Amino acid sequence: MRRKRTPWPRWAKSLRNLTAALLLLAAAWEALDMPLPAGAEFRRLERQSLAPPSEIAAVIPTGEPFSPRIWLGFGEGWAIAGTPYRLSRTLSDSRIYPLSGGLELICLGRGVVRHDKTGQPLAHAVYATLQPPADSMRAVLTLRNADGDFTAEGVREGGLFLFRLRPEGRAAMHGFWFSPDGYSYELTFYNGDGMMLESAAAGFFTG
Amino acid sequence: MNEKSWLDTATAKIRFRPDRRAVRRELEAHLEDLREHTGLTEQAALEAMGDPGRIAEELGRIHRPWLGYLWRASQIALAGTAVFCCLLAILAEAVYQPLGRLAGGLESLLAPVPFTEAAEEQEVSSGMAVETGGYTIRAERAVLRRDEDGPWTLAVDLRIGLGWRREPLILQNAWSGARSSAGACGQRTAAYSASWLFWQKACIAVEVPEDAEWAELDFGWGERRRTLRIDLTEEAET
Repeated sequence: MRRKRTPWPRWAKSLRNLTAALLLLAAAWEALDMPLPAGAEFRRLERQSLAPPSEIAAVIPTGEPFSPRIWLGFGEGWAIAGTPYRLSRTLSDSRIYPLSGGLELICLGRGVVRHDKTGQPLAHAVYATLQPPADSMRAVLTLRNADGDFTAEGVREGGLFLFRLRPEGRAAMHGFWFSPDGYSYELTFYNGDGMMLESAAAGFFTG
Repeated sequence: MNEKSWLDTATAKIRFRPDRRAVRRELEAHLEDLREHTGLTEQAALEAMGDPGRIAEELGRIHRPWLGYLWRASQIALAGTAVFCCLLAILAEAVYQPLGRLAGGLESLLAPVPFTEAAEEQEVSSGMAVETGGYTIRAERAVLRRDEDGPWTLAVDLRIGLGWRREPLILQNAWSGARSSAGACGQRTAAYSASWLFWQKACIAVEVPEDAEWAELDFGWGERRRTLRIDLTEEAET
Protein backbone atom coordinates (compact mmCIF):
# COMPACT_ATOMS: atom_id res chain seq x y z
CA MET A 1 0.00 0.00 0.00
CA ARG A 2 1.26 3.41 -0.89
CA ARG A 3 1.91 5.59 2.13
CA LYS A 4 0.39 9.02 1.99
CA ARG A 5 3.12 11.60 1.85
CA THR A 6 3.26 13.90 4.83
CA PRO A 7 2.54 17.42 3.58
CA TRP A 8 5.43 19.86 3.80
CA PRO A 9 5.19 22.36 6.63
CA ARG A 10 4.27 25.80 5.49
CA TRP A 11 7.68 27.32 6.24
CA ALA A 12 9.32 24.65 4.07
CA LYS A 13 6.92 25.32 1.21
CA SER A 14 7.60 29.07 1.52
CA LEU A 15 11.33 28.45 1.46
CA ARG A 16 11.01 26.15 -1.55
CA ASN A 17 8.90 28.69 -3.48
CA LEU A 18 11.20 31.60 -2.69
CA THR A 19 14.29 29.59 -3.63
CA ALA A 20 12.68 28.56 -6.92
CA ALA A 21 11.70 32.19 -7.62
CA LEU A 22 15.25 33.37 -6.88
CA LEU A 23 16.75 30.71 -9.14
CA LEU A 24 14.36 31.70 -11.92
CA LEU A 25 15.24 35.38 -11.46
CA ALA A 26 18.95 34.58 -11.52
CA ALA A 27 18.46 32.63 -14.76
CA ALA A 28 16.47 35.53 -16.22
CA TRP A 29 19.15 38.03 -15.17
CA GLU A 30 21.79 35.85 -16.79
CA ALA A 31 19.64 35.54 -19.94
CA LEU A 32 19.28 39.33 -19.97
CA ASP A 33 23.07 39.63 -20.05
CA MET A 34 23.27 40.61 -16.38
CA PRO A 35 22.19 44.26 -16.65
CA LEU A 36 22.91 46.58 -13.73
CA PRO A 37 21.81 50.16 -12.99
CA ALA A 38 23.88 52.66 -15.01
CA GLY A 39 26.21 53.69 -12.18
CA ALA A 40 26.92 50.08 -11.21
CA GLU A 41 27.37 49.16 -14.87
CA PHE A 42 29.98 51.94 -15.23
CA ARG A 43 31.81 50.51 -12.21
CA ARG A 44 31.63 47.09 -13.82
CA LEU A 45 33.15 48.51 -17.02
CA GLU A 46 35.97 49.84 -14.85
CA ARG A 47 36.49 46.44 -13.24
CA GLN A 48 36.49 44.80 -16.67
CA SER A 49 39.13 47.33 -17.78
CA LEU A 50 41.25 46.55 -14.69
CA ALA A 51 40.91 50.14 -13.53
CA PRO A 52 40.29 51.08 -9.89
CA PRO A 53 37.10 53.08 -9.25
CA SER A 54 37.54 56.53 -10.76
CA GLU A 55 36.23 59.90 -9.67
CA ILE A 56 33.21 60.66 -11.85
CA ALA A 57 33.73 64.03 -13.54
CA ALA A 58 30.74 64.24 -15.86
CA VAL A 59 27.63 62.34 -16.87
CA ILE A 60 26.71 63.39 -20.39
CA PRO A 61 23.19 62.75 -21.78
CA THR A 62 23.33 61.12 -25.21
CA GLY A 63 19.70 61.53 -26.25
CA GLU A 64 19.65 57.84 -27.15
CA PRO A 65 17.12 55.67 -25.27
CA PHE A 66 19.11 52.47 -24.71
CA SER A 67 22.38 54.06 -23.66
CA PRO A 68 21.19 57.40 -22.30
CA ARG A 69 24.42 58.65 -20.70
CA ILE A 70 28.17 58.70 -21.16
CA TRP A 71 29.98 58.52 -17.83
CA LEU A 72 33.38 60.12 -17.66
CA GLY A 73 35.69 59.35 -14.78
CA PHE A 74 39.27 60.17 -13.82
CA GLY A 75 41.87 58.16 -12.04
CA GLU A 76 45.53 58.79 -11.32
CA GLY A 77 46.97 58.76 -14.83
CA TRP A 78 43.94 57.65 -16.81
CA ALA A 79 40.43 58.70 -17.77
CA ILE A 80 37.61 56.33 -18.61
CA ALA A 81 34.52 57.01 -20.68
CA GLY A 82 31.78 54.42 -20.35
CA THR A 83 28.37 54.18 -21.98
CA PRO A 84 26.29 51.67 -20.03
CA TYR A 85 23.67 50.00 -22.22
CA ARG A 86 20.34 49.60 -20.46
CA LEU A 87 19.62 45.98 -21.25
CA SER A 88 22.94 44.41 -21.99
CA ARG A 89 26.38 44.10 -20.52
CA THR A 90 27.80 43.06 -23.89
CA LEU A 91 26.59 46.18 -25.65
CA SER A 92 27.92 48.52 -22.96
CA ASP A 93 30.91 50.39 -24.26
CA SER A 94 33.98 51.86 -22.61
CA ARG A 95 37.32 53.33 -23.47
CA ILE A 96 40.36 54.23 -21.42
CA TYR A 97 42.64 57.19 -22.08
CA PRO A 98 46.11 57.34 -20.53
CA LEU A 99 46.82 60.86 -19.25
CA SER A 100 50.13 62.66 -19.10
CA GLY A 101 49.16 65.04 -16.32
CA GLY A 102 48.83 68.33 -18.20
CA LEU A 103 46.13 69.86 -20.36
CA GLU A 104 44.58 67.12 -22.48
CA LEU A 105 41.87 66.88 -25.07
CA ILE A 106 40.11 63.58 -25.53
CA CYS A 107 37.51 62.51 -28.03
CA LEU A 108 34.91 60.28 -26.41
CA GLY A 109 34.30 58.37 -29.63
CA ARG A 110 30.63 57.87 -28.77
CA GLY A 111 28.47 60.73 -30.01
CA VAL A 112 25.37 62.42 -28.61
CA VAL A 113 22.16 63.62 -30.24
CA ARG A 114 21.52 67.35 -30.57
CA HIS A 115 18.75 68.97 -32.54
CA ASP A 116 19.39 71.47 -35.31
CA LYS A 117 17.31 74.61 -35.90
CA THR A 118 14.60 72.64 -37.70
CA GLY A 119 14.35 70.15 -34.84
CA GLN A 120 16.12 67.42 -36.77
CA PRO A 121 18.13 65.12 -34.45
CA LEU A 122 21.80 64.97 -35.44
CA ALA A 123 24.64 62.99 -33.91
CA HIS A 124 27.45 65.14 -32.56
CA ALA A 125 30.95 64.17 -31.51
CA VAL A 126 31.93 64.87 -27.90
CA TYR A 127 35.30 66.10 -26.66
CA ALA A 128 36.51 66.85 -23.19
CA THR A 129 39.43 68.94 -22.05
CA LEU A 130 41.02 67.73 -18.90
CA GLN A 131 42.80 70.03 -16.51
CA PRO A 132 42.06 73.33 -18.27
CA PRO A 133 43.66 76.53 -16.86
CA ALA A 134 42.22 77.16 -13.41
CA ASP A 135 40.67 80.58 -14.10
CA SER A 136 39.38 79.80 -17.58
CA MET A 137 35.75 80.76 -18.05
CA ARG A 138 35.40 80.03 -21.72
CA ALA A 139 36.95 77.54 -24.12
CA VAL A 140 36.71 77.25 -27.88
CA LEU A 141 37.64 74.17 -29.86
CA THR A 142 38.24 74.19 -33.59
CA LEU A 143 38.71 70.97 -35.55
CA ARG A 144 40.45 71.19 -38.89
CA ASN A 145 40.77 68.88 -41.82
CA ALA A 146 40.55 69.06 -45.58
CA ASP A 147 36.78 69.58 -45.33
CA GLY A 148 37.14 72.80 -43.35
CA ASP A 149 37.04 74.15 -39.81
CA PHE A 150 34.46 73.09 -37.25
CA THR A 151 34.17 75.18 -34.10
CA ALA A 152 32.36 74.63 -30.82
CA GLU A 153 32.10 76.53 -27.58
CA GLY A 154 32.92 74.50 -24.48
CA VAL A 155 30.49 73.94 -21.63
CA ARG A 156 32.07 73.93 -18.18
CA GLU A 157 31.30 70.75 -16.21
CA GLY A 158 33.11 70.87 -12.89
CA GLY A 159 36.81 70.61 -13.61
CA LEU A 160 36.54 70.16 -17.36
CA PHE A 161 35.10 71.63 -20.53
CA LEU A 162 32.86 69.58 -22.80
CA PHE A 163 32.47 70.28 -26.50
CA ARG A 164 29.77 68.94 -28.78
CA LEU A 165 30.26 69.49 -32.48
CA ARG A 166 29.41 67.92 -35.76
CA PRO A 167 32.15 67.75 -38.34
CA GLU A 168 30.74 67.44 -41.83
CA GLY A 169 32.28 66.12 -45.01
CA ARG A 170 34.30 63.03 -45.78
CA ALA A 171 35.05 62.12 -42.19
CA ALA A 172 31.55 62.82 -40.91
CA MET A 173 29.91 60.95 -38.07
CA HIS A 174 29.11 57.30 -38.71
CA GLY A 175 25.89 57.00 -36.80
CA PHE A 176 26.90 57.57 -33.19
CA TRP A 177 30.56 56.94 -33.83
CA PHE A 178 33.25 59.40 -34.69
CA SER A 179 36.96 58.98 -35.09
CA PRO A 180 39.14 62.05 -34.52
CA ASP A 181 41.84 60.64 -36.81
CA GLY A 182 42.63 63.01 -39.64
CA TYR A 183 41.73 66.15 -37.74
CA SER A 184 44.02 68.64 -36.13
CA TYR A 185 42.71 70.89 -33.44
CA GLU A 186 43.11 74.28 -31.89
CA LEU A 187 41.96 74.82 -28.35
CA THR A 188 41.80 78.25 -26.74
CA PHE A 189 40.89 79.26 -23.20
CA TYR A 190 39.70 82.68 -22.07
CA ASN A 191 39.21 84.22 -18.65
CA GLY A 192 36.12 86.11 -17.46
CA ASP A 193 37.31 89.33 -19.14
CA GLY A 194 37.63 87.63 -22.51
CA MET A 195 41.43 87.61 -22.37
CA MET A 196 43.12 84.60 -23.91
CA LEU A 197 44.81 82.46 -21.26
CA GLU A 198 46.21 79.55 -23.18
CA SER A 199 46.06 78.08 -26.62
CA ALA A 200 47.04 74.61 -27.75
CA ALA A 201 47.13 73.08 -31.19
CA ALA A 202 48.02 69.56 -32.23
CA GLY A 203 46.82 66.35 -33.76
CA PHE A 204 44.44 64.33 -31.69
CA PHE A 205 45.33 62.07 -28.93
CA THR A 206 43.12 59.06 -29.53
CA GLY A 207 44.01 56.71 -26.72
CA MET B 1 -26.42 29.89 19.36
CA ASN B 2 -26.82 28.14 16.03
CA GLU B 3 -24.18 26.16 14.18
CA LYS B 4 -23.18 29.04 11.89
CA SER B 5 -22.55 31.53 14.65
CA TRP B 6 -20.77 28.87 16.74
CA LEU B 7 -18.41 28.17 13.82
CA ASP B 8 -17.95 31.91 13.19
CA THR B 9 -17.03 32.51 16.82
CA ALA B 10 -14.72 29.48 17.06
CA THR B 11 -12.71 30.47 13.99
CA ALA B 12 -12.85 34.26 14.43
CA LYS B 13 -9.30 34.59 15.74
CA ILE B 14 -7.63 32.78 12.85
CA ARG B 15 -6.41 35.73 10.83
CA PHE B 16 -5.16 33.94 7.72
CA ARG B 17 -8.31 33.43 5.68
CA PRO B 18 -7.42 30.13 3.91
CA ASP B 19 -6.63 28.61 7.32
CA ARG B 20 -9.85 29.95 8.76
CA ARG B 21 -11.85 28.33 5.97
CA ALA B 22 -10.02 25.01 6.32
CA VAL B 23 -10.51 24.88 10.11
CA ARG B 24 -14.13 25.85 9.74
CA ARG B 25 -14.68 22.98 7.27
CA GLU B 26 -12.98 20.60 9.70
CA LEU B 27 -15.12 21.71 12.65
CA GLU B 28 -18.23 21.45 10.49
CA ALA B 29 -17.35 17.86 9.57
CA HIS B 30 -16.64 17.07 13.19
CA LEU B 31 -20.03 18.43 14.26
CA GLU B 32 -21.71 16.42 11.52
CA ASP B 33 -19.99 13.25 12.73
CA LEU B 34 -20.95 13.94 16.31
CA ARG B 35 -24.61 14.38 15.40
CA GLU B 36 -24.71 11.30 13.20
CA HIS B 37 -22.98 8.95 15.62
CA THR B 38 -24.56 10.08 18.87
CA GLY B 39 -27.92 11.31 17.68
CA LEU B 40 -27.48 14.60 19.57
CA THR B 41 -29.50 17.65 18.61
CA GLU B 42 -27.70 20.58 17.06
CA GLN B 43 -27.65 22.52 20.29
CA ALA B 44 -26.43 19.54 22.32
CA ALA B 45 -23.72 18.80 19.76
CA LEU B 46 -22.53 22.41 19.89
CA GLU B 47 -22.42 22.27 23.68
CA ALA B 48 -20.47 19.00 23.47
CA MET B 49 -17.95 20.66 21.21
CA GLY B 50 -17.13 23.18 23.92
CA ASP B 51 -16.96 26.94 24.46
CA PRO B 52 -16.39 28.60 21.05
CA GLY B 53 -14.64 31.55 22.71
CA ARG B 54 -11.98 29.37 24.29
CA ILE B 55 -11.59 27.34 21.11
CA ALA B 56 -11.13 30.60 19.18
CA GLU B 57 -8.38 31.72 21.60
CA GLU B 58 -6.58 28.40 21.23
CA LEU B 59 -6.90 28.29 17.43
CA GLY B 60 -5.74 31.92 17.14
CA ARG B 61 -2.64 31.06 19.14
CA ILE B 62 -1.81 27.99 17.04
CA HIS B 63 -2.39 29.50 13.61
CA ARG B 64 0.32 32.16 13.23
CA PRO B 65 -0.78 34.40 10.38
CA TRP B 66 2.69 35.57 9.23
CA LEU B 67 3.63 32.05 8.16
CA GLY B 68 0.48 31.93 6.06
CA TYR B 69 1.14 35.34 4.57
CA LEU B 70 4.73 34.35 3.82
CA TRP B 71 3.56 31.19 2.12
CA ARG B 72 1.04 33.12 0.03
CA ALA B 73 3.66 35.76 -0.83
CA SER B 74 6.10 33.04 -1.89
CA GLN B 75 3.41 31.53 -4.14
CA ILE B 76 2.77 34.92 -5.74
CA ALA B 77 6.51 35.55 -6.13
CA LEU B 78 7.04 32.20 -7.80
CA ALA B 79 4.06 32.61 -10.13
CA GLY B 80 5.09 36.17 -11.00
CA THR B 81 8.65 35.14 -11.72
CA ALA B 82 7.49 32.25 -13.88
CA VAL B 83 5.26 34.59 -15.91
CA PHE B 84 8.14 37.10 -16.19
CA CYS B 85 10.46 34.37 -17.44
CA CYS B 86 7.91 33.24 -20.04
CA LEU B 87 7.53 36.82 -21.28
CA LEU B 88 11.30 37.16 -21.32
CA ALA B 89 11.65 34.02 -23.41
CA ILE B 90 9.19 35.47 -25.94
CA LEU B 91 10.99 38.83 -25.87
CA ALA B 92 14.36 37.14 -26.22
CA GLU B 93 13.18 35.38 -29.33
CA ALA B 94 11.78 38.59 -30.81
CA VAL B 95 14.39 41.18 -29.79
CA TYR B 96 17.55 39.75 -28.32
CA GLN B 97 18.26 37.20 -31.04
CA PRO B 98 18.39 39.87 -33.76
CA LEU B 99 20.39 42.15 -31.40
CA GLY B 100 22.80 39.32 -30.66
CA ARG B 101 23.21 38.62 -34.36
CA LEU B 102 23.84 42.31 -34.97
CA ALA B 103 26.42 42.45 -32.16
CA GLY B 104 28.05 39.27 -33.42
CA GLY B 105 28.21 40.70 -36.92
CA LEU B 106 29.77 43.92 -35.66
CA GLU B 107 32.28 41.99 -33.59
CA SER B 108 33.36 39.94 -36.57
CA LEU B 109 33.72 43.14 -38.61
CA LEU B 110 35.75 44.92 -35.93
CA ALA B 111 37.85 41.94 -34.85
CA PRO B 112 41.35 41.80 -36.23
CA VAL B 113 42.04 39.31 -38.97
CA PRO B 114 43.14 36.02 -37.34
CA PHE B 115 46.81 35.28 -37.56
CA THR B 116 47.81 33.49 -40.69
CA GLU B 117 50.83 31.28 -40.87
CA ALA B 118 53.98 33.39 -40.80
CA ALA B 119 57.19 32.77 -42.73
CA GLU B 120 59.17 32.50 -39.49
CA GLU B 121 57.76 31.32 -36.18
CA GLN B 122 59.40 30.51 -32.90
CA GLU B 123 57.59 29.53 -29.74
CA VAL B 124 59.11 31.16 -26.67
CA SER B 125 58.71 30.58 -22.96
CA SER B 126 55.26 30.98 -21.50
CA GLY B 127 53.18 29.88 -18.53
CA MET B 128 53.76 32.99 -16.42
CA ALA B 129 50.73 34.60 -14.81
CA VAL B 130 49.67 37.75 -12.99
CA GLU B 131 46.73 38.32 -10.69
CA THR B 132 44.90 41.61 -10.43
CA GLY B 133 41.40 42.93 -9.82
CA GLY B 134 40.06 39.40 -9.25
CA TYR B 135 41.41 38.17 -12.59
CA THR B 136 44.26 35.76 -13.28
CA ILE B 137 45.98 36.42 -16.59
CA ARG B 138 48.15 33.57 -17.79
CA ALA B 139 50.26 33.47 -20.96
CA GLU B 140 49.47 30.01 -22.27
CA ARG B 141 51.55 30.26 -25.41
CA ALA B 142 53.86 32.93 -26.79
CA VAL B 143 55.11 32.92 -30.36
CA LEU B 144 57.55 35.23 -32.11
CA ARG B 145 56.62 35.50 -35.76
CA ARG B 146 57.65 37.42 -38.83
CA ASP B 147 56.49 37.67 -42.43
CA GLU B 148 59.26 38.12 -45.01
CA ASP B 149 60.94 41.42 -44.12
CA GLY B 150 58.18 42.60 -41.82
CA PRO B 151 58.61 43.41 -38.12
CA TRP B 152 58.77 40.71 -35.44
CA THR B 153 55.47 40.23 -33.69
CA LEU B 154 55.01 38.62 -30.34
CA ALA B 155 51.64 36.82 -30.27
CA VAL B 156 50.46 35.62 -26.88
CA ASP B 157 47.52 33.34 -26.16
CA LEU B 158 46.03 34.31 -22.83
CA ARG B 159 43.83 32.33 -20.52
CA ILE B 160 42.08 34.68 -18.13
CA GLY B 161 40.45 33.40 -14.97
CA LEU B 162 37.37 35.56 -14.38
CA GLY B 163 36.78 34.91 -10.70
CA TRP B 164 33.37 34.61 -9.10
CA ARG B 165 31.96 37.69 -10.84
CA ARG B 166 32.38 36.09 -14.28
CA GLU B 167 32.84 39.48 -15.96
CA PRO B 168 34.94 39.09 -19.12
CA LEU B 169 37.92 41.39 -19.34
CA ILE B 170 37.76 44.24 -21.87
CA LEU B 171 41.23 43.55 -23.17
CA GLN B 172 41.45 46.66 -25.36
CA ASN B 173 41.19 48.72 -22.16
CA ALA B 174 42.88 46.40 -19.69
CA TRP B 175 46.07 45.93 -21.72
CA SER B 176 47.73 49.19 -20.75
CA GLY B 177 51.21 48.96 -22.22
CA ALA B 178 54.05 46.99 -23.74
CA ARG B 179 57.81 47.48 -23.88
CA SER B 180 60.87 45.41 -24.51
CA SER B 181 64.52 45.23 -23.52
CA ALA B 182 65.35 47.00 -26.79
CA GLY B 183 62.90 49.86 -26.27
CA ALA B 184 59.33 50.66 -27.06
CA CYS B 185 57.10 48.17 -28.80
CA GLY B 186 55.14 48.89 -31.96
CA GLN B 187 51.52 48.42 -32.82
CA ARG B 188 49.40 46.44 -30.39
CA THR B 189 46.45 44.26 -31.29
CA ALA B 190 44.05 42.70 -28.82
CA ALA B 191 41.83 40.04 -30.32
CA TYR B 192 39.08 38.90 -28.04
CA SER B 193 38.10 35.34 -28.69
CA ALA B 194 35.59 33.89 -26.28
CA SER B 195 34.62 33.55 -22.65
CA TRP B 196 33.10 30.61 -20.85
CA LEU B 197 31.67 30.37 -17.37
CA PHE B 198 34.74 31.21 -15.30
CA TRP B 199 37.46 31.90 -17.83
CA GLN B 200 38.16 33.72 -21.04
CA LYS B 201 40.58 33.07 -23.86
CA ALA B 202 42.14 35.87 -25.84
CA CYS B 203 45.03 36.53 -28.12
CA ILE B 204 47.16 39.65 -28.09
CA ALA B 205 49.97 40.65 -30.41
CA VAL B 206 52.59 43.37 -30.33
CA GLU B 207 55.44 44.35 -32.61
CA VAL B 208 58.80 43.96 -30.86
CA PRO B 209 62.26 45.16 -31.91
CA GLU B 210 64.38 42.46 -33.52
CA ASP B 211 67.07 42.37 -30.84
CA ALA B 212 64.69 42.37 -27.86
CA GLU B 213 65.48 39.80 -25.20
CA TRP B 214 62.28 40.19 -23.25
CA ALA B 215 58.97 41.90 -23.57
CA GLU B 216 56.83 43.22 -20.75
CA LEU B 217 53.08 43.43 -21.10
CA ASP B 218 51.22 45.68 -18.67
CA PHE B 219 47.68 44.94 -17.62
CA GLY B 220 45.53 47.31 -15.57
CA TRP B 221 45.68 50.87 -14.38
CA GLY B 222 46.83 52.57 -11.20
CA GLU B 223 47.11 50.20 -8.28
CA ARG B 224 45.75 47.35 -10.42
CA ARG B 225 48.61 47.49 -12.92
CA ARG B 226 50.60 44.26 -13.18
CA THR B 227 53.33 43.25 -15.59
CA LEU B 228 53.73 39.98 -17.44
CA ARG B 229 57.31 39.46 -18.56
CA ILE B 230 58.03 37.14 -21.44
CA ASP B 231 61.54 35.90 -22.12
CA LEU B 232 62.07 36.00 -25.87
CA THR B 233 65.40 34.20 -25.86
CA GLU B 234 64.24 31.01 -24.24
CA GLU B 235 62.54 28.54 -26.52
CA ALA B 236 59.46 26.81 -25.21
CA GLU B 237 59.73 23.19 -24.21
CA THR B 238 57.83 21.02 -26.60
